[in-house]
Amino acid sequence: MASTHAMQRRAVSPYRLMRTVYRAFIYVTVIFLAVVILIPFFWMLSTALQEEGDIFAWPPQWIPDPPMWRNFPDAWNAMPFNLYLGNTLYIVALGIIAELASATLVAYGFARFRFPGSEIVFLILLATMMLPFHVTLIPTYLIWQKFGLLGEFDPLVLRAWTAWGPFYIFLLRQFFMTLPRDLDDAAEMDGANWLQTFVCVMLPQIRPALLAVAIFGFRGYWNDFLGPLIYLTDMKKYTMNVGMYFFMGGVNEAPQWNYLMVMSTLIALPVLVLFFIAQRYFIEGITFTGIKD
Amino acid sequence: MDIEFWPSIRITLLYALLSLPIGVIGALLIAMLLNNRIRGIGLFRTIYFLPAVLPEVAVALLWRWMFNSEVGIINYVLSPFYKLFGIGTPDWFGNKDFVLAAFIIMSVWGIFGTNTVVFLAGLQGVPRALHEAAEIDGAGAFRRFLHITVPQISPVILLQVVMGMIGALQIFTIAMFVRPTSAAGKFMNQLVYERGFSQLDMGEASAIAWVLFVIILALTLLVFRSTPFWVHYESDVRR
Repeated sequence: MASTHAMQRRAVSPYRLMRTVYRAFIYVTVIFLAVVILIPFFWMLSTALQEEGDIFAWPPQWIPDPPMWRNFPDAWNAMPFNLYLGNTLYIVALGIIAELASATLVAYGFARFRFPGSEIVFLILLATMMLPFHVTLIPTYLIWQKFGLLGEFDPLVLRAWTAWGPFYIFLLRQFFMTLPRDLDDAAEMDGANWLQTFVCVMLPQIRPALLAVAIFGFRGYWNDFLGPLIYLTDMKKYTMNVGMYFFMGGVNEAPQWNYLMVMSTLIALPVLVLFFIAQRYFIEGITFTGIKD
Repeated sequence: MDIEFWPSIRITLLYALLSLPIGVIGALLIAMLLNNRIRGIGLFRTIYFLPAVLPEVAVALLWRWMFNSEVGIINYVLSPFYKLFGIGTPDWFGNKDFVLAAFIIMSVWGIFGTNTVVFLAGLQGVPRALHEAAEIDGAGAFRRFLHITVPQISPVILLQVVMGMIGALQIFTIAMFVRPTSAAGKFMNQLVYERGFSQLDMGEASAIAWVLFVIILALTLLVFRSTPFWVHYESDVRR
């Protein structure tokens, strides 16, 4: 019995062979692309660990010898980055809450409620992204000046409550619109009002999209450069990105490439860790619309 | 008449035209690749998200550093090819032909990350039952992709097309920090910034901004007009 079993196993069916080839193809492609993506990052890390004199060496050094691990504490202490980290986290936390709360509501409105002119309003929303941002920069600045909030964190945080991220609204609207109406009808039949339908039925259905928005939101506030640069005037209130800008040097100064790359690495790290933790929910998210046709 | 105006429209449109299809199709294919259950997928997804985690300014600086014509890593890696084909070492951001290629390369690298994650989230929403049913009916992988996956995520594709178009036409930060020389041509947004904030001619800057706005609005309307033909909204279906 045992031997016939083994023989059966040894016989490779064409279907199985195709599967193996397919899987091998996927592995090779995934690994190849990963290497391509990693090259610039490797270069970034390598520059971060080089001595200032070695940066312009030719041929370029892939692996610095010796690696200057000291660059990390040196760059961190060159500016008050402890303080800047706290400032950045404060803005990020308040910003994400505002972003998620306002964008989901507005997106749900655009996806589910038909009112006169709703399409035009949606287009106007998108149009706010079509103007070059530096054209609206000065008017927006003047508005915050009228409110007397320049130099505070408020312009950076409050603007998120106005659902100012058209991208997130558009994204969430598109995801809401992939949900069948039957869900709404079923919830209504069970006596849910629109808010209950929204929170208990709709939001759980688009969890992968919410997760994506949360990650992008974190990244957006964490990496925002222009906002803090314009609105924060007190050096004590600067964020990490603005602090890093000082390594760029003045007009006729060369940038401190190694310190720039150190801070770029450090700033990228938290977003990366967050994504690594969050991405598993993209695997498990085989969605069930809960509907049997 | 601003002599830099028409060249800037040309390079901006050309950049959008080339980078948009590569971006949308490429991101979708990569997302499908990352939707497989393979060993170490979490690590691979994180690596593929890398281009999105860096601040745009840092990305621009990194590219400027890598494309550096004298000590840049790109020319170093490609130098055997230059020798093989007998071309001189290119000054990527100083030459009209190379600058567009350089920006396309940068945009391709940038599509990993955000676009891929959005498509990945979209692919999660495709009910598995549809695929299973089609498989039982004997549909191959390609047909299932074309007739199930694509219609199901068409709202997400629309999102990517519109956002990609706006983003490509608005290219600014990366171009600003990469600092191509003026011989290479300027994108429209760069021209707006230069005229307005360096030369303090707000009038002309606003005029160029309006032209850019109208171009983007017209193209967006065009895309939205086409949606009834290819975008499938589950919420529109009446059972």
